Amino acid sequence: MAEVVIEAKNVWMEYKDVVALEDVSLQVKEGEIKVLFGPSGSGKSTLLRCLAMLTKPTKGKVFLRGEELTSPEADIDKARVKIGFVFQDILLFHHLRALGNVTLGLRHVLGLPKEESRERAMKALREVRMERWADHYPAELSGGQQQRVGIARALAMEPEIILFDEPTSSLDPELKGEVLDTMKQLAKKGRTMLIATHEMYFSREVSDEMIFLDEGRIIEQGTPKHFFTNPSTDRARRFLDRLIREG
Amino acid sequence: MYEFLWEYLPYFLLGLKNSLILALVPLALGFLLGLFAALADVYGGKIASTLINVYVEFFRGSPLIVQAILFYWTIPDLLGIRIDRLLAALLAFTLNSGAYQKGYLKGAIEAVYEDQMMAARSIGMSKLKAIRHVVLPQALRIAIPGWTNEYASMSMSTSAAIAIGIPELANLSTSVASWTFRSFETYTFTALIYFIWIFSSVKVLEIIYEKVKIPGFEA
Amino acid sequence: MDVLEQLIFLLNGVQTTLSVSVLAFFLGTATGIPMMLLRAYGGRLWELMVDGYEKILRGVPIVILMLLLYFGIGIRIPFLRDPFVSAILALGIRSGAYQSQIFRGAMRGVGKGQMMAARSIGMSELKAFRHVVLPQMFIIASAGLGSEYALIVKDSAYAFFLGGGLLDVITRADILRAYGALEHWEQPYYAYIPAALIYIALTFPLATYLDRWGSRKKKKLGI
Repeated sequence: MAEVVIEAKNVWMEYKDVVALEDVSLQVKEGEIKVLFGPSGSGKSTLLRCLAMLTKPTKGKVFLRGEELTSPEADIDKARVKIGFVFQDILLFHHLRALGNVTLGLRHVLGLPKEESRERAMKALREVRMERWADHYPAELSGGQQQRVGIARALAMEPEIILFDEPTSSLDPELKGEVLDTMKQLAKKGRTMLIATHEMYFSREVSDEMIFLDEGRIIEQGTPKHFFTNPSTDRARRFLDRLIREG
Repeated sequence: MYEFLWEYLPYFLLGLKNSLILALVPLALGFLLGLFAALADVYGGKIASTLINVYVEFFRGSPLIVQAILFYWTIPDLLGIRIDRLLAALLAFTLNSGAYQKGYLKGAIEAVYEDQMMAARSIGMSKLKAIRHVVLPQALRIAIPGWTNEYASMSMSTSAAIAIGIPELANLSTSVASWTFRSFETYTFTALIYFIWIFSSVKVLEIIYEKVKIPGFEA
Repeated sequence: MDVLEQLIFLLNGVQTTLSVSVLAFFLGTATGIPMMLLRAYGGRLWELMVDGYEKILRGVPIVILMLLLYFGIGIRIPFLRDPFVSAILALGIRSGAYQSQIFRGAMRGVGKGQMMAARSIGMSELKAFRHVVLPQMFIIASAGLGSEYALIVKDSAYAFFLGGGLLDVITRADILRAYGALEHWEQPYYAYIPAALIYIALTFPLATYLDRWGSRKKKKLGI
């Protein structure tokens, strides 16, 4: 029985006049690949950021391998090493080259010596096939290349799970493919992943379970097959229709 | 303890009046000078550009005190004439302010120029008309924050006139301090006067900017 | 003294001018960055206090500040009765207010995303600031810092009015004037011309270089 890696329990995220997340609960077990999908503003990004504790939920609990991250004594910085995060805006460190982006965490968070950091970073870059661009600055790379370095940055920390926040949304269409391919490779190797995305074909191919979010609530969950043949709720059905029609 | 300041108030007011003259005249004339310099730099060709840049770098690179002394003593000495203190200060300050304002104005003009010029010419306007009706109205508005900065800066810099003995606020405050031996109170009071003067003027300028600024084109 | 000796006398003032300026600049950075951080993260009260501090120091002439420290407070505290100290202190705390603003703008230029990305790999806020935000801030702020330094160098001349005998460039120009008057020169004030040029040499090249370096670096890194 695979162990639960990350779990959200009755999580709420409320801002001044908006409820971004309403009583959301989900789990991702070891080796599982789940996809979050739904209209813009449905709370996908917020949920992922709450899971990584980059935003603190106003109510509810978040657990990493059984340890409660929302408790006041939790060492969140330490936990974040184990939670890989890939951003929609990529957010590579502008002032560092690709290699530097990946070694930064190894050297200054994990405290690894120079040589070991370099080796581990190169290994991560090789996994995303960016090893030949190690000494390039982000500004010298295409969006797709940058995002792959972003994935390497997360991989190098040897996380238990990787959260992907719409990793291809800000990329030009012809650049999305390389990132999605990289993610498929990771999936094949058995990585635990939670992905927020609009890429429906990709989701169908790769995910074990899909979760439909709308207006901050989980409306429906199920296998890709379920969603693509016969969704239960009207909202899910309408959303999928629109998305697939627009290709 | 502070009553003595009331006694010397006339001196502070006289100083403030002179400081205002030393600030406002150079700011106004400096604006015209700066505008001319900015336009000459952008449109005037290489020689004009180089000359303007030498002028700007000289006045922006040396202390205002030194410039005041140069205009009151050094240059008249070299020419064998004598000029009035106030005139010397106004000359130096105007040239100084012009040099700084040229920078702000050039930046504002360049921010607007290319696209707007292209649009203006596309409806058949001549270059000159385009500058007058399209580029400048926008550039001048964009330059306001920079100009507000220059206003504050120039107002404070009027104190450089101590160097040539003009009885402006800073100079008179040193006199009052030496007469009363109450340096701390005198200088604190002087600082307060400057602060009220500059702070309220800047606030007014900021309100004006809010009213006339172009939406979407903030500094 | 012949012309060469006079020039050397004048140039010897560069050491003093630069010491005052550099120390004042670093004092400004050392106070400016913490103030910027306090304003950004310290809560409403700190925000208002730092804002007030900035506004005051940008609304009072530097010479008044120097006079206040040297004569006003220097009466009680002998430490300030040295024009070197008072000048550095006055220039430094004013620069702190200016640099606080410069760094605030620069931090905004870096963007919140960079901090979030750094935290996502497990960095503490402090580490993230030190390794990711601060380096980029300096690159963005380089032009502003260059002109702030130039401003300090020029305003160091106001220390002349403290009358304490600080032998910087402008004071030496004045000494040459007095000497010239004694020696019955035609134009005792001519030393101010090379003095002006010396100040320009101290400000213009560095400020321009920093400005160009900053632009190039920003372009290269896409900041």
